[in-house]
Amino acid sequence: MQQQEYLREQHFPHILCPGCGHGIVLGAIVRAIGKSGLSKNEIVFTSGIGCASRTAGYVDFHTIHTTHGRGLTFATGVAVARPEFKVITVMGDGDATAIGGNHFIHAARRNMNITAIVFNNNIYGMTGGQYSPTTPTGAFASTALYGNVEPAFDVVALSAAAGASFVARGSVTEPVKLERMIQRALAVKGFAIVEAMSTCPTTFGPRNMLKTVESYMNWLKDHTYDRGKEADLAPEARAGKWPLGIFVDEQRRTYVEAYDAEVVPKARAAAAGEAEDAIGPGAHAMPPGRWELVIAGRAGQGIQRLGALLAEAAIRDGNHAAQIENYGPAARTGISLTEVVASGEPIDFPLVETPNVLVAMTQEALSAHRGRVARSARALVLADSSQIRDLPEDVIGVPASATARDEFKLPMASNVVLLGALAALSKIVSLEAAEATVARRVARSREQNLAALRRGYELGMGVAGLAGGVGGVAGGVGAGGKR
Amino acid sequence: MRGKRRLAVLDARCKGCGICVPVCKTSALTLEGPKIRLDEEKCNACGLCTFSCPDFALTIHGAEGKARSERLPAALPPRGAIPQPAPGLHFMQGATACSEGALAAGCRFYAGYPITPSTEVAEEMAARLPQVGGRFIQLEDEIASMGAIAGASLSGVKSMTATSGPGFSLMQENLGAACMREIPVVVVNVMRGGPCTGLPTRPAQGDVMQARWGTHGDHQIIALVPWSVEEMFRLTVRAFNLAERYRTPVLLLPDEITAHMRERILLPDYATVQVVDRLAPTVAPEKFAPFDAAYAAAPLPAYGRGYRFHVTGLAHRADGFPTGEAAAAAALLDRLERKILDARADIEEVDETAIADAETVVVAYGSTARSARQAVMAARTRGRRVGLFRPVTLWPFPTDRLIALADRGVRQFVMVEANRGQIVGEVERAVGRRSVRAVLQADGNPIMSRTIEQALA
Ligand code: SF4
Repeated sequence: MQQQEYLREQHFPHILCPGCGHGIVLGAIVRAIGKSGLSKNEIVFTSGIGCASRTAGYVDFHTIHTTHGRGLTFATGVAVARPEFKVITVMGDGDATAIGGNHFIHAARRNMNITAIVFNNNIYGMTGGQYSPTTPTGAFASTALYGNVEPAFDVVALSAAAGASFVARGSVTEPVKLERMIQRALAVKGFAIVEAMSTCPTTFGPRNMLKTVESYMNWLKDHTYDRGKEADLAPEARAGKWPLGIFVDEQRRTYVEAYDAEVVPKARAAAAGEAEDAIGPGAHAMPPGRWELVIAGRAGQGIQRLGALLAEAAIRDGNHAAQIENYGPAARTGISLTEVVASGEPIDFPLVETPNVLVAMTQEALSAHRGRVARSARALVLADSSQIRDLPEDVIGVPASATARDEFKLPMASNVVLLGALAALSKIVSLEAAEATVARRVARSREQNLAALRRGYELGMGVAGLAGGVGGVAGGVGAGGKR
Repeated sequence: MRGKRRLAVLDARCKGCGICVPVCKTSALTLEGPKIRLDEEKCNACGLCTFSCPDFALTIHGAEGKARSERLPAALPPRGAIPQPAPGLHFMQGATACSEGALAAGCRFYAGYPITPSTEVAEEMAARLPQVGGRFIQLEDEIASMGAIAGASLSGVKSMTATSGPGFSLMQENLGAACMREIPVVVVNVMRGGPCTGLPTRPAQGDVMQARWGTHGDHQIIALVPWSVEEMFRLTVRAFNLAERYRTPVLLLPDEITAHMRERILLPDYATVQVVDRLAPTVAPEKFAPFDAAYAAAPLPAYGRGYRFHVTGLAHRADGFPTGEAAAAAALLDRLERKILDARADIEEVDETAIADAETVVVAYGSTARSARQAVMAARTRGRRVGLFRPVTLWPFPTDRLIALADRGVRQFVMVEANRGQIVGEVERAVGRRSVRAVLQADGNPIMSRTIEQALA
């Protein structure tokens, strides 16, 4: 293997400064790739922004020079969408541990199948030498002219704690060992990270008394040690130095392996069940005009469900309906409300402006919304009379919860009783469409729910008969003709 | 035949750093002036120095090399039939229609971060993608989500994310990344009240200018605004098709109402849905240029077919590699703009109601256009010559169509939008300030038709 075979030779010399350690890291990477037997066509190579990240332009793979800190995000997309690739992400220390720190720890935690190489030269080189999260305390930088007061991140400890499958630290002072670490990292299925201690002879060196490339390389050699020989070194001799070696090598399931093993079969089994069937629309004549319904009550009474059943039944009738749930934090306050607009004609504005029907399932809902209902001959206020103390004269009461509880032993079916009553009283939906909808949507105690629906319809018809046409409703029905 | 093993110094690459000098055990390398000099007598061609050279200037010739593998990874499977709700009439939520549209258009990857009121799209995609051979991932934030869909799409898999205001703000960085690298992706922003956390559960249309100019620098963007559940499906398909055809991010901007409401939709058989795919290259890999200016939007081969190209956010040439040259940078920006503006006829979609004899035209988009339509129809019954102009494509803005209406004699334009006045500026730019009135409301409540009716009275 010749390392040149993995390079875009036409773009050399590269842009890195003379003596920059990053070139040595890049050499180790391409030799490791060569030895790993991977084909160039199998590699996706992403990077962030900075000197380290510019290396992506010089290697002959599928390369993405992304945005600052985001090399791992693009890599994550590739690793999940195309797991057949070996995905490699190169980053600088700022890329990996500052702006991209969140992506870094989560890629490790999820065990994304990515080989991550952090080129750590303890500085922001490309922008001129500002201190980074890995700049040693006391070191100098263009934004730390009086010495850096921040403690530094330990990339190895961070990666291990975040759950990386493989964690190693090498150095440009030992390029062959570094190459071997990268080769091992490439063989890992999962998040494998190699921190490569590197140099910036342009911005870090001169400010830190490392004026020549040689003195800088010697300093780095002095400030690193083989972790295998740790026992031989006194704690003072280790202080402020970076141990080199392999720290974690415990492979576990990657995100995609877990997803494919657990999520996919369950999802496919769910899809293999009955497909959602289409609605074969009937031809029920809804009373003309635009029906604006407010359905209100307590959370847990099945208010949203009632709205959805009603709207779907209207569509089954060949008519139009739109439903809006009340949503979010309000749903947790105990109040529940839904709006349905229904019409024989296509609906323009899908929200209720002035309701002409109110279905109240509690006293509070009745009190709160009764005043909103339009004063018109078409208006209808229907309430669950089992929940109301004194039923006002102009409100039609149906004992929905008592019926559901006592006749069907299904307290939850009070909404279905009201649907039946509403169908009978308003003719906004036909009983057949309501039945078909309940049969399709209610899985548990389907038969009792259907019976409760029909009972509600009977109760509604009874009231309608008694009243000799409630409000304008009966008239509305009589006058109704489809379109 | 390989020759004798020997070290070569590539003078053109050597930057004279001298790192190799102490590495050499036989002192064969010395730094003389700006370059390294090799004493071939002393060199035993061990190759140690080649590992330390940061500039790839030292190479061993005649080394025994393993033959390199040219293996290709498994190709993407062809798009096959997928399980779907039966074709026909359904009662469906906007968010569901959006994700079904995405699947019908071939989307097989979704990355996102939960945010109200867009989470229903994520929930649908999480349930559906693994059923159709795709994958879903919930990421640490919207920055990551936007990056991940861009990466996945570059690799050849159609991808989408959905978010809302604050998340859309976080996406701007990598949205620009996708514009610059010409990566087809679809981003759904379910608009809620802002700025900042604002009114998370309330509808608004306050992000339309952010959609246009949210990411930094000159760029063009395509944004579509649906007004119904049916359009949540159809325009999501269209968003993917436009993204693929023009190699660009496409935004879908439903407001909270459109994403959350349930209404009827006639769902097609997905096999009959017209799906556009990015162009495949017609040249060999060595000749391929990912930003070939011969095309408005160049072919984009899926990863793993031998086309190994580079993309960067730096100004770049046709071959994808960075350039600092003014002319090249200007040519790039020019092409990025033209590929969208020159295709207006294809991209622009407007919906006009009762416009033929209208003297007054209401301009509205999204769910606001539905109350506007109701108000317009009511005004018509009172004999008012009012019409409705609804930009379905919000960006690029259909300026010329409005100009044509003004030329045809429309005297007044009434802009209705659920914000403090964003698109109204575009309308004024088209037809002149004097003929534009605005009905604006940004209090978290939808604009009711009676409000618009009053404005028309
Ligand atoms: S600035 Fe520093 S890190 Fe960047 S290329 Fe130069 S030496 Fe290397």
